[in-house]
Amino acid sequence: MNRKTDFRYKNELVLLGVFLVLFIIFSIASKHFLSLTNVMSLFSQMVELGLLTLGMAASMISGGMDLSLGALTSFCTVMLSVFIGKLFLPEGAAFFIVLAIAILFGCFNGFLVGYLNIQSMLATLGTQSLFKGLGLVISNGVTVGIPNTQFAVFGRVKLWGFFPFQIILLVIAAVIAIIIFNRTMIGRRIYLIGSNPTVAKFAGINIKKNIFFTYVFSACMGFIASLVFTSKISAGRSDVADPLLLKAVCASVFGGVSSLGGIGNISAALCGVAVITIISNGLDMINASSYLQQVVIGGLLLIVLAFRHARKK
Amino acid sequence: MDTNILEVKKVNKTYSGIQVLHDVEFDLKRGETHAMVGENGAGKSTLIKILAGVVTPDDGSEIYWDGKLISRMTPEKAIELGLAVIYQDISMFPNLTIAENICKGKHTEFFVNFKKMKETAQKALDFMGVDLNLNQKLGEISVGKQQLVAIARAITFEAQVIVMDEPTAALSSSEVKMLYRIIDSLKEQGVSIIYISHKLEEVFTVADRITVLRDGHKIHTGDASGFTNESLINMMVGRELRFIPMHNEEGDSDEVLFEVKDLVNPPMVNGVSFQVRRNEVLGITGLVGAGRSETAQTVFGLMKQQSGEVYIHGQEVHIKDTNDAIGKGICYLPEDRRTQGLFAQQNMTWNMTAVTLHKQLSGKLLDSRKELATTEKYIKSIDIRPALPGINARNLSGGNAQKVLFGRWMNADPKVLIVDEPTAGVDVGAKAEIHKILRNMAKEGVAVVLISSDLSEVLAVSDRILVMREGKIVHEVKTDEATQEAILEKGLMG
Repeated sequence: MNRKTDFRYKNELVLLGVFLVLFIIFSIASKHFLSLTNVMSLFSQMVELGLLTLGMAASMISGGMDLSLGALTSFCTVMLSVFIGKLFLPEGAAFFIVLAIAILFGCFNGFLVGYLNIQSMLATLGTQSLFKGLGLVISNGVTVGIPNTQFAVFGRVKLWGFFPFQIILLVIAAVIAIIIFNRTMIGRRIYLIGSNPTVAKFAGINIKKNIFFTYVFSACMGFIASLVFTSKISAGRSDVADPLLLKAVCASVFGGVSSLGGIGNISAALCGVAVITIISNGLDMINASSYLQQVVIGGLLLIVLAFRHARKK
Repeated sequence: MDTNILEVKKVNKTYSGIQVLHDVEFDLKRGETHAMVGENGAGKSTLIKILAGVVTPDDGSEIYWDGKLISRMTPEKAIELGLAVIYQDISMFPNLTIAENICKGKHTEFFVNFKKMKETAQKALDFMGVDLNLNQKLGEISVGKQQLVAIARAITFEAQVIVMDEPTAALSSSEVKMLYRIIDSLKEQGVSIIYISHKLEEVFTVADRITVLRDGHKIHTGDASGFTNESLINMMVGRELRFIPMHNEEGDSDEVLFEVKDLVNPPMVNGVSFQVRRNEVLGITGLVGAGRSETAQTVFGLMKQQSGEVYIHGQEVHIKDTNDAIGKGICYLPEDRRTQGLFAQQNMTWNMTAVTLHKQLSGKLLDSRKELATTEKYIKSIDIRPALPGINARNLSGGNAQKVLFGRWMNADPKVLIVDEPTAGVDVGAKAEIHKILRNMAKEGVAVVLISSDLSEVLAVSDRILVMREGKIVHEVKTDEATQEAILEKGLMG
C-alpha cells in the first residue's frame, strides 16, 4: 500500500479494534456482560442511535448538519401514537401517513437548504424548533400512549425468542445507506458537493437536487427510528429522541465523517455507534454512574480527534 | 534620499520543485515610487508576499530593512518595521466602520477609545484629502473607496513602505487622480511606494524607477525616463519564444464547429461574437478583468446570459445550467484549479470521473473497476504522475492536477472545450504536454478555445487570436501575422 494512497476502511478497523478491546474489558469486569441476553440487548440498543446516525452522517457528508433530525423523529412518535392510540387508525394506515409526514418535513428541510441556500445548521435549527413545537402542541406536552397489544413488531418482538427484530431494521437501513453512498451516482455527488460545492458546480453537478435528496433521506431514517421508539415504549413523546441528536453527531465524527463535508464512510459512522453503545452498556453492567458515560464518551471522542489531527500534520 | 529602506538579494523561491523566483534582486530608496511590472506569473506577487513575510523564501535569500539583515520575515515583523501591503482583494473587515478599520489594533488598551480612534482616522483622511463618513460600515462603500481606507490605515500606522498591488483596478478616473495626489504627498513625507500595475500609462505617470520581472527573473531595473513603451513591452515579453509552435497541420477549414453571437452578460461581457472552425485552436487573450472568463462561464451556463446565441455544429443551443452545457457537449476547464477545479480531499479517480459517473455504471451501481480503468486510461494517455489512481488530489503537483482535470473533460466527449489559463502554475514540461493535448483534441474535431494571459502560449498553440478588453473583442489576428507586442498594445493601450 502506497503511503500516499489512503486505505478506505482505516477508521472502521480502528473503531472495531476499540470495540473489541472494550468488549473484552467489560467481559472481564462484569459477570453479566457476556450473556446472550445482554449481547442481544447491546445490539438492540444500537438501533435508534444507528438509524439517526445514518441520517446525520448523510447530511454531514453533504457539508451540512441536520439538527432537526431528533425533533422530527420525536414528532413522528407523537403522530404514530396519536393515530394508533387516540384515533384508533389501523397500524398500517398510521405507518403510511406518518411516513408521508416525515418525507414532507424532509422535503421542507431540503427546500430550505438546497433551494433557498440557507445554511443547513440555521435552517434545521429553525425546523427543529418548529417540529418540536408542533409535537408539543399536538401531544399537549404529555406522553401519548398506545395499547400494549399494538405496534409491537418494531421494538418489542424477539425472533426465535431472543433476537430483537429491530436489529434487522437497522441492518437493512444500513445496507441501503451504504449502497446509496458508496455505489450510486447520487451518493457520489453528495460526497463531491460536500467536498467543495463550487467545484461541484463547475463539474455540472446539480447541487439543489442532491442536497434536497440528502435531507429527505435523513428524514426517512428519522421515521424508521420513530417506529422503534414508539413500539419500544408503547408511546410517543415530543422530546423522546432529543438526547440522541448530538450522540449521532458524535458517532459520525468517531467514524471520521468531517463536519466540513465530503469525508467519511457511513460504515465507519456505524462503527462509531457500536463504540458509543458498548460504553453505555458496559458501564451500566459494571454499575458505574451514568454520569460517567458522558465523561468517557467525550474523552474518547477528544482522543480520537487529537490523534487524527496529529497524524495529519 | 539615497539610502535604501528595503533591499533584497539572491531571492529564490521554489514551490514543490518548481522555481518561481531566480536570484531576484530589488531595492527601494526612501521616498521613491518603484514600479514592478511583468506578465501574469512573472513572480511579482510571490516577491511581494516574501517582502510582507507571508511567504518564506528559500534559504540563502537576503532581505535588508534600512541596511539591516532581517533573518526571518514574518507578517508581524513586516508590520512592526513599517511595511504595509494593499492587496488587490482587500483584506479588511467589511462589518466594521471605516474608523475602526483604519485604527484596528490602535487605541484599544482595554476598552476601545472611539473618540481617539475617530480623531486618528480623520487625521489620516485629511492628510490624503479624502472625505469619508467615519461611522459608515466598510462593506457599504465602493471597492475603490475601500482601497483608500486601506491607504489611510497604512498612513495611520506610519508605514514607511507601502505596496500597492493593482491599486487602480477598481478606481474611477477621478479616484485615480486622487491616488496620484496621495502618492505625491506620501513621497514628500519620505514614504516609499512599490507600485504594481498592468497599465503601463499609469506606471509611466507615477514611477521614479521601474523593475521588470519575467518568468521569475529580474530582467532590468532603471529610471522610468529611460524606458519607452516599446522597450518596456519587449522586456516584459522577452524576445525568444518559449514554446515550440504547434499549429494546425490539417489545413484551414471553413466548417464552423462552434459559434457565439452577440453574447451579453453585463458588466463583464458586452457583445462577444466568435467562431471556432474545424482543426482550429482559438486563442482569447487580454488582461485580467477583460471579461474572458466571464464569457466562457456564461457560455458554460454558470452565469445567466442577458442575450446572445450559441451554436454547436450549426445548431442553436440554449444552455440552462452547467449540467445542461456538459450534456450538450460544452466543457469548461476553469481558471482556478484549486477553488474551481479540484476536489482536493478526494482521490484522483473520484476527480477524474466526477462528470462522467453515468459511464462508470454496471446496471445502476457505480463500478469501481470501470472507474479505475477510466483513470488508468488517462494516466497512460496523458502521462499523469505519480500513476496512482488512489492518490489524494491535494498531493498532486500543479501540472499533474491539471492533467487530471483534462482527463475529466476528455472523458466527457466534449464538442467544445474551453480552457481557462490551463498552464497557470504549471512547470514548463507539463505546459508543453498540455499544449499537445489541446492540439490533439482540435485534430480530433473538438472546438478548442484557449483563454490565456500568457502571450507566448497563445502564440504557440492557437491558430487565431482574439484580444478582449472591457468585455468586447477588440482585435483579431491570425497567428502567423501576430506579434506579441502588437497584441500587448491592443490589450493594454487600446
